[in-house]
Amino acid sequence: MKAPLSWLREYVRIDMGVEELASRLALTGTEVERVSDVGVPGDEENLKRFVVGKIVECERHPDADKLSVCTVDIGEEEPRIIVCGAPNVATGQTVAVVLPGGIMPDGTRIRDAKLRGVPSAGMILSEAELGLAAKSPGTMELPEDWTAGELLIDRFAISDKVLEVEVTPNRPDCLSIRGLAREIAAVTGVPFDEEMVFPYPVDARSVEEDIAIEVRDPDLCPRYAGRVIRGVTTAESPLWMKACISHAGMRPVSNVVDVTNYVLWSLGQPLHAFDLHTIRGGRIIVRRAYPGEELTTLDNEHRVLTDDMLVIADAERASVIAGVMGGLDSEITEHTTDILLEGAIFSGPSIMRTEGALGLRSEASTRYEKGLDPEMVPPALDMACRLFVELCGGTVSSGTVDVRTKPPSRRRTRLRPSRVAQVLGVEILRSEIVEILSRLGCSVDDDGESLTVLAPSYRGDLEREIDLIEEICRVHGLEQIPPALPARRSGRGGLTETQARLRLIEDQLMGAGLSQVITYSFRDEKWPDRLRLEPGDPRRTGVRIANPLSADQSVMRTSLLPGLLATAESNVAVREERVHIFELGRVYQPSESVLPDEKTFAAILVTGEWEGDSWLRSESVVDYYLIKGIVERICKVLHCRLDYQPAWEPFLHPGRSAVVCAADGRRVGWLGEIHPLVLQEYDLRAPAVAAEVDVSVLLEVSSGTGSFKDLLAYPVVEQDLALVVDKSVPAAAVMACLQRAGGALLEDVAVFDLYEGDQVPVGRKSLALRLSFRAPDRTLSDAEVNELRQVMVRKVEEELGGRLRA
Amino acid sequence: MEAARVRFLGRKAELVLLLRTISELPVEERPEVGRVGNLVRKALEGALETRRGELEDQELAQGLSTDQIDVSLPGRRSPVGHLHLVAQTQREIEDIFIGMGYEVVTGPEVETEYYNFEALNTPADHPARSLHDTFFVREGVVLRTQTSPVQVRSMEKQRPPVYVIAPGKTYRRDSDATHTPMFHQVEGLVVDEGITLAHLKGTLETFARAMFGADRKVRLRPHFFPFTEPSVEVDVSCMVCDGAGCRLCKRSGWLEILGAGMVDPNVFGFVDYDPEIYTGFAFGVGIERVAMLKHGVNDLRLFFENDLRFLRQF
Repeated sequence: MKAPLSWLREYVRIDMGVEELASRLALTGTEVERVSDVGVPGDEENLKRFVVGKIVECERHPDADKLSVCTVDIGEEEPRIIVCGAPNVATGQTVAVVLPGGIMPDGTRIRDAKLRGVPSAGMILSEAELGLAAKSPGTMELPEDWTAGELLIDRFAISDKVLEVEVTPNRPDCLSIRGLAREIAAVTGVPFDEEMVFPYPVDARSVEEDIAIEVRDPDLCPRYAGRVIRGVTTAESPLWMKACISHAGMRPVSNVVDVTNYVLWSLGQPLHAFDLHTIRGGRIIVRRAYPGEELTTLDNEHRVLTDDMLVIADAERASVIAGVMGGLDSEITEHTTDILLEGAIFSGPSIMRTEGALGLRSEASTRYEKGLDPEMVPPALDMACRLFVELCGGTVSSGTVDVRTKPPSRRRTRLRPSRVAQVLGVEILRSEIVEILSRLGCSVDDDGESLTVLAPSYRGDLEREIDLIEEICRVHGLEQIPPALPARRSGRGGLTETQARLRLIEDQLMGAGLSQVITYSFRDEKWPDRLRLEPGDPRRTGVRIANPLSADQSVMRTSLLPGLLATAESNVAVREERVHIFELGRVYQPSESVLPDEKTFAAILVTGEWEGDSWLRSESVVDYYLIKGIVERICKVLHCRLDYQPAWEPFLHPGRSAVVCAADGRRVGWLGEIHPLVLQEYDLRAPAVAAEVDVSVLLEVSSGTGSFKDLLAYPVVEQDLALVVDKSVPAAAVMACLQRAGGALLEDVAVFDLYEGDQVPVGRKSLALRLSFRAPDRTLSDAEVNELRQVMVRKVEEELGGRLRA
Repeated sequence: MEAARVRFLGRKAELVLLLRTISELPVEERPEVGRVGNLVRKALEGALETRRGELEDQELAQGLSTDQIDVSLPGRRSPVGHLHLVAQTQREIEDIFIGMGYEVVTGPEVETEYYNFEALNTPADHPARSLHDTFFVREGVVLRTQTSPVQVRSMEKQRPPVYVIAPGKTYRRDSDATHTPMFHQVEGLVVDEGITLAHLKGTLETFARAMFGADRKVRLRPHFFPFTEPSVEVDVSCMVCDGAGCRLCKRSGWLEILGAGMVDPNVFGFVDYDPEIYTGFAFGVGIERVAMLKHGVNDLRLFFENDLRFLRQF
């Protein structure tokens, strides 16, 4: 909310500089987003140069049709000559004059000048030049009773500082100049005058002759009051009011409209003015809208209403969406003479629902939604009536129609000073507690043990002891709270084993040369098609977001791959062609229970040269074995063993991909080369490989840390072996067979060469294997090893049709 | 070398021939001739050996001196990977609090309205619960808007003392230069007997100094959150200008880093903790916010665009 300083000063004494005030407000809970200067620069020297002038004589410029030469009395001994270009300038006008040396709002300095040969000692001002209007047709005419030479600043705010404050939703009482002034008084320790009296003369005619009010939905409208003002004349508002309204960020419209806005800003109570003659049947009915009822609002939008919206209707139809926006039909116009003035309280949650449903918010509705003080209704009406009389020449019918459906209530709360210390960690004197609460408008009763606090009607948020403690805390000053560390009583901190191992996986993938990415958890609906998933693939069924920001972000992911492919796509598009990335994050699988299953997956994608980019050309193929090597690296550090079996994933090369299973047969994930059609789909020109594993399964099947084996006491015995088997026999089968036959003494089998060609029969391949033997308790003899080796070879011959290669 | 060896020590060398004919000399002369002859031979062998060594050294030195490479060329590439800046920052935050005795806990990202709002004292009509601000899966199920629901889940699982932090992804229906629909938070919660606002202040001061430097000052400003009371926003003195005022801190000298407060007694009501016995504090810090301040990143969206030119910088 924008609060001009001079307006605040009408309600509270402000002794400190505006920066200090802003900082004090910030530290007590009212954030001041910025302080801006409006109008002309506010230093005393400058303000002295803006004065009231009387045009003694006004003649046409001898050499210019559009200029006038004015003789202006500004209270000096001799009047000045000022050349003026405004079409409306005339003898006898009272005008605003800036003298040479004066600095305008836009920073221009006014100088003695010669216009077409005539010297001009100043300038006659328009409203636009003072920032009170966007455009002005001519000079600004001032009231005749202002005397020549008076400083303009003494009449209205030609210069001001405006505080833009952010009020937290629990403090709607601060959404007004007066409310903010009271807060300033409380936090700076100056007195505040609670009294509000706005006297004005009343007419003999009673308001009840003109209007009857019926509230049909008391739950949504705790209070509805109306006054009638007759015989108003629409005109422009006085300058002081224009200055207030425009400095507060609103636009001056006319005296009648400005009065309601002025009261809204002053006291925080929204008012609505109806043209009395548009109210059919002389009745106001506060009711829910009929389903489908229609209304054109002031912003010229046609609205269709529902029955959970409250409207203000007359005998025939709705004319206002209660607390949100008026209807075009009952709007005040320049021809309006008689006004029904509404001051009401509406239920906050209901206003908020209506705002949401209509996508419509106004200055009134943003206040109503937070809950307003019903006691503010009469003074707000009084203030407005007084202004209607003073500024618009209206007469106020006697009496108020005031329908109050909820009795006034002020909440009484018990406060224990000991509890204050228990929460804040600092002792605050009982007397200070009482003092702070009183400054905030509470009445406090001390029975010697605890305090009984009666909260003011405008502080609906003070419901509980803790609410009062918060108030004491912020006014006392958070800077007064001494920092301390809690004594960590029992227990300890740390990562769980799973958390530590997730970090290990990240570290290993990073160590393997991959960069971590974090992609959005939600994706478009098309990715399963782009990945060629079959119609029944469970990954097609994702958790859908009911209200996505865009179709691109409408389904929770069931795989990390689409995010990685999209990342590769966007990087390649900007010529970052070496995309070596991984992501560790959750996928969301719909489940039978309320919430989906969230599983942590790790996925890797590599495309573009693996080593490349170097002057040292070395062989580096992005193929199945590259990605498998990375997966094996993870397995190694996690101490787990996985099986790789050929299997079909529609987005992978059918001959160069595998599914990964744990020893117990559970599926862990997949890996392989990306299918050429998918590469094409994502505009990837280079081959790509990828893998995805379910980390939760991986961690379950990994044995954790290694257990000690003495590998130092007795040496390993290594033997090489070449076996010829059918091409269709997987290496893993040969190795498993050897392992079974080798038993406990065979420590490891590793493939070190693969040969297919002239040296072996057609349809066969030769695997060169290194066997490592070790016994835990002795050095193995050659004889022992040779014997075992023969047993192993024979086993391969029997089971897999293998032959020892000659 | 070889010629010299053959000439002086070869089969037909004078000395060798002499020694071979030693038996032809008179018996009394033989020992003397033999002794001297052997001395000479040893000396000759030694001289040859020395010379050979010299020549070999020379040869090696010559060979090495001509085998020169351009040492300024880059080395053989060893692939270097990067942790995402969010992950790095998350770890940093976790480790600071682990050092203060906190456990790290996690919870679901697709969360019930009960845990995300209700049990955090956020009533049904609160604006944050609208379709405009929160992603809904269906009625009652949302993408969590904060990691705070993990607070409630943690308190349901254990009795005080509770010292936990809950890092993770959060989602809000907002997308512009300063908002992304997904971001990361670390929620902190401490509940025990005798926990006060002073403890919150001390804890956050410790955190801010560990994260942003030992000279940092911390300032608390009152604020409003539904599930804490009193609620505060926490500023740290600007690390660029040290509080003097600069562009980063918009001339205020302070940077807002997180929101916090004392756990509202109503929240304890939901998990059956007695607020007369236990008090606690909670705080929530945006990981991207911390990373941006610490590393001078100027656009939040960079974190999720995953442009390698960005990722490789950290």
